[in-house]
Amino acid sequence: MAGAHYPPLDRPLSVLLIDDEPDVLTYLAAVLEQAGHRPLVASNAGDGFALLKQERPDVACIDIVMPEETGIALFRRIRSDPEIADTPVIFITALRPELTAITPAAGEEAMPEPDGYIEKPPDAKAFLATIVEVVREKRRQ
Amino acid sequence: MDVDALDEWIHSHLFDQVPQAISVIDREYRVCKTNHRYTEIFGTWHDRTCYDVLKGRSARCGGCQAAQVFADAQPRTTDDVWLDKDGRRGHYVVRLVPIPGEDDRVEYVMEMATDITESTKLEREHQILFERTPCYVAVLDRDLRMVRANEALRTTFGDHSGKLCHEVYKHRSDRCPNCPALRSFEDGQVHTEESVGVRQDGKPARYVVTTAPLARPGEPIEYVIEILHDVTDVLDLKDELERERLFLRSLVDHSIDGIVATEADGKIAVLNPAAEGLLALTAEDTIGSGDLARVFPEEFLEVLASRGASCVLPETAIRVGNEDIPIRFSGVVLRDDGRVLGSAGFLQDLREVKRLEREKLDAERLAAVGQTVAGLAHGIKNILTGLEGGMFLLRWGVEDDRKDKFQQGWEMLDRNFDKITSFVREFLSFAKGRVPVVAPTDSNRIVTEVVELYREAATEKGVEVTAELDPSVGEANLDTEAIHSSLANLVSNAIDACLVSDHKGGHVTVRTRERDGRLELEVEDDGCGMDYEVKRKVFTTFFTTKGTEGTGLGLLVTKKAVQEHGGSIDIDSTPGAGSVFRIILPRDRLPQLTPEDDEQQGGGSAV
Repeated sequence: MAGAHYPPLDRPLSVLLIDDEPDVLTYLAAVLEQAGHRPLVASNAGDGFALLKQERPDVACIDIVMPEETGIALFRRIRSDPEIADTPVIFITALRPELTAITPAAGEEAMPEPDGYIEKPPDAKAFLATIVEVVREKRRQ
Repeated sequence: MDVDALDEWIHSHLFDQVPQAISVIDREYRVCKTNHRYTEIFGTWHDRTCYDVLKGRSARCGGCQAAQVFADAQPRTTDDVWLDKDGRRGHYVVRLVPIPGEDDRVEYVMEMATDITESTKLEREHQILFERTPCYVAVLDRDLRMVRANEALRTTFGDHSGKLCHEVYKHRSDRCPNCPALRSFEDGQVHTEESVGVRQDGKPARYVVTTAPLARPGEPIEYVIEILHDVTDVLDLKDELERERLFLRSLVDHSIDGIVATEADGKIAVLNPAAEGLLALTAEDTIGSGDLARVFPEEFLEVLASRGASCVLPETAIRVGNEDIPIRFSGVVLRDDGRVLGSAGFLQDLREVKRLEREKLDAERLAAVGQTVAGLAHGIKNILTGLEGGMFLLRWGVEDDRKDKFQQGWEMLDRNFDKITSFVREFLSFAKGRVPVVAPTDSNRIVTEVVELYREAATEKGVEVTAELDPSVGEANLDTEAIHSSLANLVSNAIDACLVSDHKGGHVTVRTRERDGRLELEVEDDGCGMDYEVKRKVFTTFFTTKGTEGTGLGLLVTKKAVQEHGGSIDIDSTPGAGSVFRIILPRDRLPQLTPEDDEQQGGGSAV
């Protein structure tokens, strides 16, 4: 079973998934559910932020490219809200190589550094491993 | 005839034969006797006074010299102006001699007049010539001292009296080497010399000096006349002209563009090295020839034939051997006050420019293909996510006998197989491309059509689509279908941007514009706008912000179409305020209506 190679955490994790693609949400939620974690899903940044404030999940996985508010804008909002600023954030993206190559235009802030990346298409084992690793790292601090 | 007889002949004939006009007057000033010459000049004189005959007066002249001779019996010489029998004035030198009577009184006076009218006139003319000639003229004695100077010299150099020639002209105390005046004194010949002196204002002057002896051949030379011509200005002008000529010559010779010029008679006068190279001619064989068809394009020959003024041809061709060379040409008929002086043509070889342009377009097309391939990965990754997710759920459903998971996974797989089908179909149509059909097209018409196409559907959703057309936009060689779908894509995106925006009821404006040799097609919306991450990615991947709705191909297709027209797309966008997508088509890069170019564009679209 996925996640079996890793020492179990003391309790199941609650994981917030924010992506505008329903297939991604369904897939990743299924992976988490099967591994015994508790998935929370939102299909846009606004709903995701509300859910984050309300449920205080252990980790938030955010798609970068979403209409209206992008994942990066949402990430900035999270980091600047003291209540939830220390929530670990993982970007779900197919754009990782390109993203790191972006240099901000004049007057624009550089992209903030997230706690981890999950590349699309996600591999179930790697996804779970990243979640656990990020939460552990955060707790160590 | 013996000596006595000779004496008698002389006495009886001399009076009549001398070339002077002789008359004798009595104390009443009546003319008593005249010789032949006198009668010839002054006509009848019997019973008339001298003042009546010679001056047409009724009373004796004031200061009458004859009266003096009557008074003191001393002979005199005077000069006077008399009128001849026809009333013409003549200038005479007159010798008055007393003829004594018996009581020692002067009884008669004899007047012997020599006509000097002609020589007086000559002398006056010489005087005027000497004084008024616009050169410096001086008469020098053997010491080179100026004994006479003309008006120009006196005005320019002031008082010359007693000064030496070299003091006046050169401010030097010793004589000049090679002095032409001294040589004229020595050999009696005329000499001319160029010389550098100093003007009154201290500036250097350049003179041409001519000296000539003032004596008849064989006589000792007492004086030399010296004429100086100040040629400083002329020579300076000549130097300047020469410099100017060299400057222009070097410009023409070193011009990268070919320059050809003709004289008024239509003969070729200038063919610079660049023109020699371009036209495969030699200046040696071509200059002087009237075969203008070898050096000018047809259009300019027509201008010349129709007495036109000029022509500028941004792109034309000239036949060299059996090849048509693309050139940019500018020709002008040279005129001075309406009079034709000749013509000039400037030929810019466009072969290299054309080659670079072709290479750049090819490179841009290749880059577009490269980006397409890179972007493919993103589109495929999205579908793979769906497939993996479907498989995961399917497996879970089978392994744990969970019907709900099985059902969910099955649906996900099903949906993503459909996605693959449409993605592949769309991609193939993009990749295969189509041979562009280029024709002179009215961009305003395309914009009107696209706006019409979307207006109704957009209005229903609360978005207003309008066109703002620039009437000065001219026709352009466009692939109507490609530009139509590009604009349609941008308009569709703009409407979507308005729909997802917080402030509903947005506006989409489509504009045309002609500016700086570029045709611009612009789509502006006041929708959601884009932040810089999105802006950066818009064209570079299969990028969509529309979730499952879009394939991310639309803008890429648009970019490809615009690039195939040699153009580019500009984006201006502010998150929350709206975006402007601007298709920029430089006119000089638009496709040409030649079969060759059509072929290249067809070939460039294959992936």
